[in-house]
Amino acid sequence: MPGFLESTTRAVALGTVLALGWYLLRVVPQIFNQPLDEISWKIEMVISLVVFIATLIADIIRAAIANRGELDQAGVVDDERDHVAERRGDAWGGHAMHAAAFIALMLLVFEFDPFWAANTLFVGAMLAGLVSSLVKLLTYRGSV
Amino acid sequence: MAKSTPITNEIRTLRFHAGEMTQAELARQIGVTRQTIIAIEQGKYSPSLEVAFKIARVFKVGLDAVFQYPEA
Repeated sequence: MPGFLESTTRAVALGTVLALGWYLLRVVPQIFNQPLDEISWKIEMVISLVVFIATLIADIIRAAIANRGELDQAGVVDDERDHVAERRGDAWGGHAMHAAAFIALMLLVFEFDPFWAANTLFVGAMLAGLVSSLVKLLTYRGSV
Repeated sequence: MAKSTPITNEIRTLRFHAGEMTQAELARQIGVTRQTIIAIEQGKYSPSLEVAFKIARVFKVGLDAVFQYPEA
């Protein structure tokens, strides 16, 4: 059975895929069928974030219940393997987020519609979270 | 497929000789999770020097009795 932090990392990955997948399914088809200022995306973005956070909270509660014994064990909070996974995951996620922020900045500098900058930041942040989670999970599996 | 570290270990054998000490008990004495002990035993994770010394100390043996780094 995976530990508490490994379980919550899986939850983040799953929540990201669900929330981002739903958002892209709702917004991307509109890009090809209507002008940018008529695309409905702001409320979808908020709903997507709410779905992500709700999925995350539910999974953290589930993981906490499943790992009660581990969490009760004194001194386990500082498990070094968790730290290694966190460090690697955050480094890769950070690179992805920096790339998304840079692209969004360029879109604003060259005066593209704010739709593109906002969506680059949103999708970039979600993908950065997903990359971070996947690297952590690979580290837990001993593949990185 | 999970990549294994070239470092091998005798933790399973040492636990057996320590009265079938459980992974959970070893984890508790060292201050890591049972999953980390499983990963170390299976060669999927190389522990820090500090944890390696702690493991050796639990079994009252030298570091090289717990971990080996075979010639390539």
